[in-house]
Amino acid sequence: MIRIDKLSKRYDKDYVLNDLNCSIKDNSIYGLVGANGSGKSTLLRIIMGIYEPDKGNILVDDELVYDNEVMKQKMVFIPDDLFFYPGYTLLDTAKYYASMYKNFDMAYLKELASLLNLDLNKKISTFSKGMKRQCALICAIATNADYMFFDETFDGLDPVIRNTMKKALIKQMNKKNTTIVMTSHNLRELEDICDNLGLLYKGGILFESEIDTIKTNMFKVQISLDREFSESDFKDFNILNFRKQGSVATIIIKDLDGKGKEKLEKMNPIILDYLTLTLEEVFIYEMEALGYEFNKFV
Amino acid sequence: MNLTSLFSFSYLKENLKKSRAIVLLCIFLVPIINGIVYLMRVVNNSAFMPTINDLSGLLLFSMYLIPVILSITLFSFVYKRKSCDFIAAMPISKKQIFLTNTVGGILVLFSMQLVNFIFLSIISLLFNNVFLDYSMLVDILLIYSIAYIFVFTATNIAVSLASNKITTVIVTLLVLFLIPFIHTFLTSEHFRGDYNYKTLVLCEEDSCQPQNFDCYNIACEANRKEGIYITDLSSLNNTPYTLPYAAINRFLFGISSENNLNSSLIKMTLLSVLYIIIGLMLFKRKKFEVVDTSFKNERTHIWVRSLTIVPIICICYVVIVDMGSGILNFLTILFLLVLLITYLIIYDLITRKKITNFMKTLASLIIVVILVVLIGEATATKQEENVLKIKDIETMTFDNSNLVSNLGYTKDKELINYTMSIFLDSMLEGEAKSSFHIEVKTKTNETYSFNITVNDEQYKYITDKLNSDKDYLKTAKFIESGDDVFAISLGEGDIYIEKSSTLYKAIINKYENSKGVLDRDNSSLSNIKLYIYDNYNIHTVYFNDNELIKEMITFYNSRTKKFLGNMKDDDCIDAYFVGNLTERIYFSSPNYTELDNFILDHIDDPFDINKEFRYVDFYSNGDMYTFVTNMVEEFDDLIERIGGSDENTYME
Repeated sequence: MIRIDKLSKRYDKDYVLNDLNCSIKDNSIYGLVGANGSGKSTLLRIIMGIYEPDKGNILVDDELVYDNEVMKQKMVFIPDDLFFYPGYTLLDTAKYYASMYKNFDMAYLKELASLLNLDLNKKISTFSKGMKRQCALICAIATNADYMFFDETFDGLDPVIRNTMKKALIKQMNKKNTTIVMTSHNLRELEDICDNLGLLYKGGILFESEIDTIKTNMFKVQISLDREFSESDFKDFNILNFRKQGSVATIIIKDLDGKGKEKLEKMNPIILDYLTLTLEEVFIYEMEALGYEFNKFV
Repeated sequence: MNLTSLFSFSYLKENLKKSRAIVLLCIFLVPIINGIVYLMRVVNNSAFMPTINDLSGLLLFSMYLIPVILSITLFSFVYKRKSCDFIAAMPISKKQIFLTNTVGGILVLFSMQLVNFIFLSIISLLFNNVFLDYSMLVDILLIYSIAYIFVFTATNIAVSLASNKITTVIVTLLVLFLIPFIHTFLTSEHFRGDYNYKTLVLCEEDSCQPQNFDCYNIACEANRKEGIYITDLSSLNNTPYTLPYAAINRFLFGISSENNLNSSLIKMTLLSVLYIIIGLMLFKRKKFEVVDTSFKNERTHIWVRSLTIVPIICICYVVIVDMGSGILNFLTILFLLVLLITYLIIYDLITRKKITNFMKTLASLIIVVILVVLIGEATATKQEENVLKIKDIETMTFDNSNLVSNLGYTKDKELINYTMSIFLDSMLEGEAKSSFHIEVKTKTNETYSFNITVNDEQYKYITDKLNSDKDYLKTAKFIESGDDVFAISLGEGDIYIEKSSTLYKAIINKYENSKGVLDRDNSSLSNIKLYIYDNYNIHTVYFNDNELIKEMITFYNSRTKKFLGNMKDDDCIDAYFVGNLTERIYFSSPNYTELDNFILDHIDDPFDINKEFRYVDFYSNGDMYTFVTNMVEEFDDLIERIGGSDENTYME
């Protein structure tokens, strides 16, 4: 279990993370989303014990992580900007990981490398960007660490490899009860793999919830009434977005449960459709509701 | 706490592996070049007796490079965010990273010194024209291992503080040099110019008054009546500086300090331990998120930048003080200020990639200038009043060529006064016999050194006194055993004799039975030099022994015969000298063949030491050969016949 308590981190005078509270339960895949510069990478680095928090603390299995080599043995981190020693092959890199991580599974690494057609004895510097990421990911998986942190996890991977890697990660989680925290700008990538999602905004977690709850809790409703209507007619609902074209309105409603649906039906609509939102849409509407105006850039 | 919590072998192995090119370069480059240079010097067959400096010039130079490069290489991950992420995410603590790299670096540097030691030993063993005490090579191994490790640990502090490579180098220089430089600036008269600085020697007793002291003005006469003599004597710096700074001090500022290498080595060792502790503490606090800039905050940057200009301002201060007042001085100050501000701006751009606020720059510059001027003025006043009271001299050390080292000192007031009287004398009466290097230590622990030249009478007085002085005999280090001697040479041109020869053993035996300060005469033929390596220096003990002269002459002649017998067509003889018991003359002639034939004809003649003799010295390929003969009349006739006397130059 990862518990983050009142975490703050600043660069010079600017707070990147401010009084952040969060908990990530074991044996789950936690997706961390947020706008550029929201502090996702910084948060991962602090959880990993690379950076020291200015305030607050992070407990992993009730232990402080910063500069704690015993706890780090249970954790592995793949950053967005990958690093490999110059001139190292995948095998060299794997051996390095093996020398640092007690539970490193070299046989499994070779199996994954074979599955992904990665030459163990070829210098990593000659690999493509996607292949380099595959190398990093399979090295991390082979460490058998209890906690895995991936920043921009699938960046540069083609759809086939992305799926393979997702399967490998899920298999790892099921096999070893691993907790995985990953960030991605591509919310669709997290949609089908994460159990939980946290939205990072202005240095704090804006909301965190299970993916299924997020999806079933927010709907895009297309409605048309037999009379003139406006947004004020829906004041009892938690509306994140309201657009009306002609006689049909498209409304994004949050926390729409059965009672809410009954209310809508009592309005005798001519048209009433409930559309499920993609995670990306949820993210955008939540951000818009907070004043983050995407439309300005369109 | 177990060893694995301090040190990670896996990390060391991988770190050395990824840096193997630079590590191998560090281990082998300097020893190989040093070995080649040494080889070039010994390969020409002439006798070569290297000193520590001969064998370690390159080591001294690379002391400022190799440890710095190695430290930056081992800690290279701290300068890039992605490598920082990679290493810091590994299950290894900052303490383990720092200590592993420190131990690894020390092992690499020691390996380098060991390789150098092996190369030098092999070359020395292969060439029998090399004369050296192998303990010198062990000393080189020790000295430079400690010095390199010292520079390495200082760089590790800089790595822990700075966040880019250039700042690391700057902080390393500050750690190594700033404090000793300020100390030198405050204590050394070398930074005061020669105009203001004089040492007044105060002699309050008759026995220390000089016999011949020339005064050319009334002030001097007035001082003389008071027993005050103005000299250009300078006090020696007792501070055992670290080797990197001592070398800079010597080569850059021309300031030598006492030969206290042992203290320097102890100091460097202790400082290295201290630097490792400080480095570790700083590294544990290092922010890995701060990369590619000088420091984590601007305040530290300005502090360090200000420290870099301290030496520059100190030197500028000396220049300006020496110039005196006037419009030129004002313009110089203005020019220097512009230069300093330009330097600070360039410094900002290089280390932080942005210019610091001009007012902050100006304020830091003014603060440093004010501090330097205040401290400089305060210490200058103190230094101009330097007085050496002869009655305050506690010990006087005589560096005499019969001693292994200059440790022999006397507390004999009579001898101290006598020696000071000779020092204050304007000129020597009579013919010079010998010279002594003197060091005096006062009750206030100040050290002065000077040389005196003495005549026969003075030499005898001093040596007699020393030979009966208990303190001197107790502290002076004479050769205790023949085993201490690593080489013996004879005659004027340093003809080395083999250790296995009977003559070598006879000379050692003779010397072992002669204790105390030995007398010398002027006969070059009977010169014997014993070479001893002690206290990081080669000491030469001179003495003459007429009882061994017959064996020596037999040795000279048989050696010359061997050379002439094996002489090749391309061997040429460079110069001839002819001599008798008291004289040695450079000899030139249009026809040397007759002289060569004379040597060959008479080289096997029996020799009688009790009869008059003549000798010839000649040089070939840097080595000297001597031929001695009793055929005086024939020899003189030959020399007169083949050499125009006008052309010959008397050498001694």
